[in-house]
Amino acid sequence: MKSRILLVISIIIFFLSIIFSLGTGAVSIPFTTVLNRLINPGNDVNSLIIWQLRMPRILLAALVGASLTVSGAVMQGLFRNPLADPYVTGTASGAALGATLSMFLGLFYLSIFFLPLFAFIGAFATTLVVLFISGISGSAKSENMLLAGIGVSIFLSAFVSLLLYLLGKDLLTVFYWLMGSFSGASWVYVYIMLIVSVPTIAIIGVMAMDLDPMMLGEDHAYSLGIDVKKIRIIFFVLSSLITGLSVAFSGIIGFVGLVIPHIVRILIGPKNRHLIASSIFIGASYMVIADTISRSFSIIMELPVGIVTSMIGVPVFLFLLVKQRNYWR
Amino acid sequence: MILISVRDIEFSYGSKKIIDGISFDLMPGEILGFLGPNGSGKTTLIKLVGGILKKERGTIRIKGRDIEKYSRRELARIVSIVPSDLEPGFDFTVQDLVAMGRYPYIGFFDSFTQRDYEIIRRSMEATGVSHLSMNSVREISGGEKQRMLIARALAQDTEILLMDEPTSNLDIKYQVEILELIEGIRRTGRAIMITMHDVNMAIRYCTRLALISKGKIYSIGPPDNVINENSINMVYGINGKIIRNGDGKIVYIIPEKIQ
Repeated sequence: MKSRILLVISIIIFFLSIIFSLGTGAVSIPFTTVLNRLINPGNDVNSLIIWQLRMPRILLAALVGASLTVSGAVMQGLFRNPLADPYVTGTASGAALGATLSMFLGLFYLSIFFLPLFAFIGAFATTLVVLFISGISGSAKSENMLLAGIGVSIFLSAFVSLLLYLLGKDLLTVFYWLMGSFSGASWVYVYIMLIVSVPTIAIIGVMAMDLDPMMLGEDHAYSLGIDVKKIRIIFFVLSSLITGLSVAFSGIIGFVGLVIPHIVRILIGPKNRHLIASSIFIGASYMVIADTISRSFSIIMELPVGIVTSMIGVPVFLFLLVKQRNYWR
Repeated sequence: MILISVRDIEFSYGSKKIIDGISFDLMPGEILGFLGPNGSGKTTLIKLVGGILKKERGTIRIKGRDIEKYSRRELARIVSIVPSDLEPGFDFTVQDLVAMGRYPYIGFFDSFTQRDYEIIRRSMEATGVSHLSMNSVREISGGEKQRMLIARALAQDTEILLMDEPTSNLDIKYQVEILELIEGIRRTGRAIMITMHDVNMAIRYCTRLALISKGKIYSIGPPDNVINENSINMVYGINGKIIRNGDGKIVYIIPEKIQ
């Protein structure tokens, strides 16, 4: 019951946050005008701002927010570890290496699309390497996966540092990208996310029940009819896919994937069907609002959205944690 | 009808042989207890028969069919496992956890039916955990946790229950409570395979006993035939005095004091 209420509330908040965000920015547009231009787009300035400038960015933020939150929820359940986040499989460092490499090779200057392409390849390839290593080192046990992810991440980060060191003058561009931003958003990105992430999230949502027994430990999961290895690989690959895509289009945004699932669990409990459903909309709304703040903060330069997500979200999370101190043993 | 038939199975962890040629059958309406010192392979045996681990040699047949021919979900509808412990980490309620016993029966697009809820409710009632249904699994005692796990196995509605030391870490009151519960389940015609530490409790409640040592069955049969001064000495390496009733039934084993 609680979970249904939260789901309805989070869907309402989701739509409100989009409408709010469409009207907010360097040019503010009144609520009624936003609604009007949404239904009857015209050729005026407001329509242009809403449909060409803000809408793709907002939708990208929403899709990335949903992807990272769902991925974080899955990783925490799969690894039975409260510290797991979407990047535990090495996606962040893989993407960073890909992005840095695209600049180092000069491809970035030919077309800006090379950066997300390389970042995605880096992220997903890293995931597969981690899966492979943990598979041969210990039949894909969750501890092996975590350790392999950490090991590979550190290894790749060393290469990123090396490339950045050699890159010299373009250091700042990569650094800014690493901090995460939706300033590069375009409709193309939105379409790709819609085609790949939405179905992937839907599959995760449908299969989410199988994560419940996984959260009790391997023996319990087996006993309850879960094909542990298969389920682990499926969730690992699916959530790495949406994380990799998110990182490619918006850089490495922390906090959301780690903490929003915890907040949802504190509110409605750990059952994964409900958790995933609400996480989609809460993660999306949260990212939309955070990005609205980050682009409205200053006219001269935007704040990296990762800074905003953490600065607002962490105090809320810590407050809930103190209130429910038994939440995680 | 034979529910489980195990023949000459072997299993090793690395180069260490844990199970070294074990064979036995399990019939409906019996409690087959496995006794043996720590490290004798009891838990590994449960995991092999439950399909958590894969045997290296030999055959395991569940209801006449090779265990490897079953999908996990199919197997979970015939065999339930009650692991010795549970460290949930997450804040599931007792009811959430018992309800997971129904998961092998529902597909990705299904929800619980009225019948599922009824089975969950009855399982909690039978094990006396109904009043805890909304409590977090982390707030309940060891005895309550065991009863909850048995409730989950009941909700799973399987003909075979495998229980790994359900009574260790419990004081004597709860041991009796849990074993009475298991005896009640046996009377419904289900087959139960159980590992235990306490020889005296095992004699009292198991219909058959198997003494295992170093991955082999030392002897198997009715408790009165299996337990004697010699077998206890061979398996546990201690000298014990066995007290019998007037009719020859074993009442108690007292380990001899060494110093």
